[in-house]
Amino acid sequence: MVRRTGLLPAVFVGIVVVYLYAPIAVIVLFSVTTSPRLSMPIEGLTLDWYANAFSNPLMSTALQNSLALALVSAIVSGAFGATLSFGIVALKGGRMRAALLSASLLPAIVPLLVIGISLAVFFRALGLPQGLFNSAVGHIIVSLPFVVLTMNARLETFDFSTLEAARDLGATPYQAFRDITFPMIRPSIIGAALLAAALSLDEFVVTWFNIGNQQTVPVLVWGLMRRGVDPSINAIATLLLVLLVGLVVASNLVNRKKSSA
Amino acid sequence: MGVSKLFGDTRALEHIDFRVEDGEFVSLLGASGCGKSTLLRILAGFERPTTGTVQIYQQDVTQWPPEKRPTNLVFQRGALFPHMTVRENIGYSLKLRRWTPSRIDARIEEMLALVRLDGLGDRAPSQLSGGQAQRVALARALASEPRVLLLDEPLSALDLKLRQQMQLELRAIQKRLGATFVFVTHDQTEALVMSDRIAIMNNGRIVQYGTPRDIYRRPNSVFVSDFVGATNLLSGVVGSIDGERIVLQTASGAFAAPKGTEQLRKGERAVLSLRPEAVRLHPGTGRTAEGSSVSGNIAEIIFQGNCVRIGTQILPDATIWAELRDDEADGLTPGDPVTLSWAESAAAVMKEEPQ
Ligand SMILES: Nc1ncnc2c1ncn2[C@@H]1O[C@H](COP(=O)(O)OP(=O)(O)O)[C@@H](O)[C@H]1O
Ligand SMILES: [Mg+2]
Repeated sequence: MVRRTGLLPAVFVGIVVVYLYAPIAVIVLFSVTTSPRLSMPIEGLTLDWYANAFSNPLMSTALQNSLALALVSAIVSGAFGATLSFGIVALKGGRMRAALLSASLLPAIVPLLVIGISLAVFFRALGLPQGLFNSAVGHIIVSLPFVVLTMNARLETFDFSTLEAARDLGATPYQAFRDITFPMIRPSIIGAALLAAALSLDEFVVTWFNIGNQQTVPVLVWGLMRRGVDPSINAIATLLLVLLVGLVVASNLVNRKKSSA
Repeated sequence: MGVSKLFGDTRALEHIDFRVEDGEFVSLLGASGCGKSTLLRILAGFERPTTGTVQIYQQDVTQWPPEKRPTNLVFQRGALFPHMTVRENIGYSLKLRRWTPSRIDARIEEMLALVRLDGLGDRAPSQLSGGQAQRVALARALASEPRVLLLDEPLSALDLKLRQQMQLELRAIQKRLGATFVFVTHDQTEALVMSDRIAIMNNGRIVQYGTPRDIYRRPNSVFVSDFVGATNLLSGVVGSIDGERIVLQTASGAFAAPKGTEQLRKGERAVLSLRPEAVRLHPGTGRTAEGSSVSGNIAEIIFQGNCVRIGTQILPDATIWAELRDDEADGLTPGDPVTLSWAESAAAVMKEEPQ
């Protein structure tokens, strides 16, 4: 095998990596520097911005709201997505399966703006005031396709004959689900739910149209940015970043552990 | 009552009508796609027959779900529960039946000993070899003492040595437990070795049902004689029928055979079937004392280890294969003129089947 160690490809890869990660690195960096302005050179290190962010009462409510939405999304999307996906995979081919799969994945390509505005119009028609509940519904719609997608990947390898084996050995349909299906797909559900939580945490567009005068972390940050760049935004963004990366890594780990068993 | 099964337009089973006696080991033998699994799944309760009924011990169970039936199925690829240990797999049916933990444990040990897996109880299914997994599947299915055990090609994934060993073990276990086994296989040797009776299936029908000896010696159709063991087929026209003897006129001569169960009429087209091991081979072209004989030249010699198969061309388009012990074939070479002979009783005449 020929190994190409040309300089040009290396430089190109370098540029792409810098392009992808430089902004993120800058934010993380400035969340711990003393200089209140985003400028070089770095004068000293501090955690003041984190303290600042948390002492802001708006911030703690926004964080609570964000976590509540993430939790609801994880549970509802996880449960809905798992059920939907299991049903789709159990159909074993056929037009019905293709149709259902497309239908469940469609929200992923509908522009967020469209989802956000339609939901707002829809809830107004129902006479429901904007608020956290409306946003939660939006988050579930946005995360469901990704839950179905990750669940499907796992369920493709699910051995449905184990369910028949359980029935054959005397289990009722409910017992077969409780003893066989659920324990076997639990890691996939947890992984998918963590992903839904991650998607919910940084959702902005749909939230903004539906949350009214309440705030989530992304909505709060957007509001703060309009009043000028406050270094505590860097701290908030960094926290959000750590949380999201943590959730996605955990989601992958849970699934990996299962598939290597 | 004949059972049939349609999947949409596909007719998987057609008017199956067969009965298994208590304590029997019955094999369903047929090529892939002939409907063996479908029949087994109807017995287990996973499929409902389109027409017909299923009775187990005089009870009509046609509408019963699998968990209510006194049958257990050993799946083709085991279908072990991957998140449970071997022990938990075997004990699952007992837990559902609310046995006490101590009784369950005792039973699991008994089952592990039966399938010779003592000491492997705490492994996960992923830590087992193919043969071990298959034995766990067997133990799991046997633990609740089903009156009927259904097995869907449980040995097909194993290599030859292990398969032969498992065949004998399965047979021994069945005799020891006195349970009724219905065993699906596409391997004729396996069916011959293990069964009390064999049902040969073709295109969703049972074409012959009988003891291994019956099926091997008195196949009732060209399909069966060709499918079970190797055979030579010579076609011709029925010349005469007298008493228990039937004479077939073929292009290479007239051959007699015992009259089988099939109703054949004079002048009808028919086929003579002759097992290679019944054919004897004599160098030269002289006449022999034995019943039927025909001469030709050796066309092919195939060494098979325990025996040698020799193809003799008796007509430009007809070859008869003989199976000899290795030392009996010493000194024979292709092209040699030889005479083939066989006892009249070794041949069978049956209806020609439209291809
Ligand atoms: N669920 C099903 N849907 C449609 N056709 C099926 C189904 N199961 C089996 N068949 C068809 O029925 C026939 C018999 O299948 P099967 O009983 O599995 O055969 P075997 O076990 O002898 O190989 C085959 O033609 C197969 O394609
Ligand atoms: Mg099959």
